[in-house]
Amino acid sequence: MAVITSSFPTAQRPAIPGLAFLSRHILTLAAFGTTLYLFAPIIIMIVLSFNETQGRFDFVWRGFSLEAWEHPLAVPGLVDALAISLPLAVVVALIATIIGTMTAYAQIRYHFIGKQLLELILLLTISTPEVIMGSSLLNLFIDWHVPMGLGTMMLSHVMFDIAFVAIMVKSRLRSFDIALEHAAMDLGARGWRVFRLITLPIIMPSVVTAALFAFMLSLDDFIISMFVSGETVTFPLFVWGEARVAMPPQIYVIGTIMFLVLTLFLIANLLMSRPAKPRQDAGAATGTH
Amino acid sequence: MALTADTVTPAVRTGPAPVADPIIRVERVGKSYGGHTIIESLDLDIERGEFLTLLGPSGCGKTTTLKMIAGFEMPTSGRILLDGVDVSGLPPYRRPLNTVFQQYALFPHMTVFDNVAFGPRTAKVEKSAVAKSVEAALATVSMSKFAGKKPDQLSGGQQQRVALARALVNAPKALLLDEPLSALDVKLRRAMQLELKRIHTEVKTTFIFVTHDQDEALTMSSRIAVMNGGKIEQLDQPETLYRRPATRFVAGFIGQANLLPAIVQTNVGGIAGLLLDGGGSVLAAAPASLVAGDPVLLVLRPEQAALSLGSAQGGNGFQARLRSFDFQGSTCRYALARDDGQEIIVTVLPQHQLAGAEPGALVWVQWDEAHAWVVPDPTRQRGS
Amino acid sequence: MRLNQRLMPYLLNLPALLWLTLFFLIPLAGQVATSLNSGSLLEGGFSFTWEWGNYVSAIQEFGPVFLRSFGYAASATLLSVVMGYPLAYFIVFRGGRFKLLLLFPVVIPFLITYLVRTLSWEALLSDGGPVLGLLKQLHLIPQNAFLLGTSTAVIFALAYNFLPFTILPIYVALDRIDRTLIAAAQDLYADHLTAFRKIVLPLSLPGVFAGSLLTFIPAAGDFVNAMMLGSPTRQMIGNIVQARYMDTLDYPLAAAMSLILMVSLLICVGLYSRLFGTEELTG
Repeated sequence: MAVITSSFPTAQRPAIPGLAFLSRHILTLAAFGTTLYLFAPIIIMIVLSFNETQGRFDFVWRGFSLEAWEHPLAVPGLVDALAISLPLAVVVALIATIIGTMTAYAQIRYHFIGKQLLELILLLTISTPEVIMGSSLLNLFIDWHVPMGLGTMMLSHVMFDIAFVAIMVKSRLRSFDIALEHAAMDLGARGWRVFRLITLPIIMPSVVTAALFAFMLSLDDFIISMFVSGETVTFPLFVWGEARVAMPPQIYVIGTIMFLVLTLFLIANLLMSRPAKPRQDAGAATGTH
Repeated sequence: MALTADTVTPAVRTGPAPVADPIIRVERVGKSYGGHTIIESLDLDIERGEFLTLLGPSGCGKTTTLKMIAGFEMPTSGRILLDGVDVSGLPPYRRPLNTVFQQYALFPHMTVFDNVAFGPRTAKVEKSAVAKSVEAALATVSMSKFAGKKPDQLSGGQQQRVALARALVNAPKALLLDEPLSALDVKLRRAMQLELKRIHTEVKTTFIFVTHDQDEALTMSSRIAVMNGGKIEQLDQPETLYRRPATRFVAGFIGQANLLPAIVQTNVGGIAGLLLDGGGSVLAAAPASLVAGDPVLLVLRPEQAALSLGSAQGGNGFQARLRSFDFQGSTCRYALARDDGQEIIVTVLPQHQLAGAEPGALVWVQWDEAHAWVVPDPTRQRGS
Repeated sequence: MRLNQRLMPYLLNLPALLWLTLFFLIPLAGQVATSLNSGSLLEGGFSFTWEWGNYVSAIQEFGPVFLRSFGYAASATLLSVVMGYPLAYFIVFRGGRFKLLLLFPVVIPFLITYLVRTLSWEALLSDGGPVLGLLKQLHLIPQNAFLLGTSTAVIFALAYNFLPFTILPIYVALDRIDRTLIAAAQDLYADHLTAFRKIVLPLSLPGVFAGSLLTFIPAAGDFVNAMMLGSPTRQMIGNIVQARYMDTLDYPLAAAMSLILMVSLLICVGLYSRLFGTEELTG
């Protein structure tokens, strides 16, 4: 029988004093640094929202003022821009969520010809830079003599939102236990009823998240909107216009408000989709297992 | 070779004998995926009101068969009749059958009550009737107090009962159970086995049960279909399967067995005289179809043999040497070996322990001829 | 019923397919056609003349711009990965119960509207702003130092926009790693650094690549950051395309440039898919 020698490394690496301490904390430092980087613009945004309303290039701190917060919509054109962007985003989110969920379900549950092609196209819509999509859409609408405005923006926004919704819903569907759908079928339900009563309620948090995401993407869209908006001014386009002239702090106020609202939504969503409290395993102890 | 009914190749059906007016008839059903054949041709008749178990190792086709009966898979050949009606092409929601799934598949976003009510509501049963049926179903499984709870607030055993109630409330023609107890721990399993038996007696519905655990099958079933490689090796009552296995596989799968190769010398009046391959003439009960010259296996269950120290002492038995001995509490386990290397396990009650037995000692193994059995050995040819 | 079952996936996919064909595929095809046009709007419109010259012009005139765009995108991606990986690692391995909470900072860029993001960076990096102002007060840098208008500013802000895209795939990849593998490595005499180098890092690479790709591609096409934080002498492809489309109306050239960008990026995606499959991206 061969003799097996121990592989325990007797020659350990020489311990450099402080190296362990450093390496343990370098990670924390790096993570902290990145977090600071992530928070920096927010802090600036909030700070600048309290800036005094005056002049251009106001990255200069002029003084503390609550005026922008008291009159957040005072800037001419701001309300109109919001009045266009918000409903547009809602409509876009609704349409994109429905279409995206449908195709997500089809991709997960069924086999069909062209599945990989469809997946590729969806991937392309996400990975194509907006400047290309925007300019080609402009091209298209001009060729088809379609007037630019809300309509063209809605069509464009839904286009790039579908893929995001599909990805998020697909991800949820993958972890969905198909036995639940089988059980429903076993109990007499078919197709639409199974989806309506079983699948949809259970994946709803993910669908809502996807809708929220689609809403955000539409609301926030700048590049594509710039190409296809015509005379219509959405909120991002409004900000763009203002930034070239004089930046009122109200913009930062609105930005802060949007940030807070989205954060609240995020938290709400997280809480909604957390698993319910763990089950009591009464088991043999109480006898009523 | 004598021509008997058993040796004539049947023209249409193979396998277990048909039953008059079966509730479910599986007729020459085959199932293949891609190029891979899981089941070649399966025939099975299920009696009304019985508790039939499909038992076998994983991959034997038992779950596939259940799924085909339920409608989650379609047979690639053959057909399935429910009460005489061909249901082979029907989807699950068109079959008056219900399934208890392995992981229960309770709807997590609905209460226990809503889960159980799902079937009746889908069938558009009137509201008050739904409530009555649900309450009755929950009472049957002793879960009435949990009607308002959600599945994740229940223990495994409780979830299982709800799954059962959800299926039974629809008064299906047969209840299909896909290894429903495999997720439970041992103690709970045993309790649930008895529960299921009780419920079966109470509701009088046909139960079709799938499991790989032979103890479970023996405990609960009125009949067991032992499956292997897509075929039913034997379909019989539990005791028959144990005492009179039809094939080598069944003998080895149900309970423990020593299988000793031998050649049939005589077979008269239900008792066969065998010449063991390692030498020695012994007797055992045997099926009438075996004739002299047939290669067979002697099926000797560990608890059916008696041991005594020393050389041959007359009576029906053979010589072996003691290899090792284990005390296992309620039994003593002896591992023995014959001169040709054949190993034998014998278990005896503690009071019948062999005093002074050392490894290497000569031991005489004997049994009552009626308590051993013989199965054909398909791996060897006649005259080899 | 069987027929319904067969048709169902096609019916479900139909709206998406229709929408994407009309508003993604066809426009792109149109872009290809336009890129081969010649003439101009001032001289009576465009005509399709297989004008490959547009492509040649694009590369000749704007070759450096292409290189710069890819350079910026690559730098931004590298910066993102360098900054993002430690944070992702920290959240996964040191986060404990607060894991999900700690992901909040990661998605912050998404919670600020795009332009305000960029404006905030403009403010942050301005000459008298919080960063430079402080350093100047401490006399750590010369008083006339500036960041706005430099490549650095563009890259920093560019990385910010896509940092979530970088971090999330890395997070997922790290989270998926079976902890018992690390325990096994340690059992076999590997110290923390070695375990990281030999087990964790290789297993997290698919996530790193996915994140990099998801960052690089949109970054290459961006122009707003360059416009607001860079200088007119350092434009990106997006700037040119936007200007040509909206200002000078030189559609054919702009289209050609778009397509060159598109094809280059497609090659990247293709290479990636070949190496790692599309699961990481679409999953």
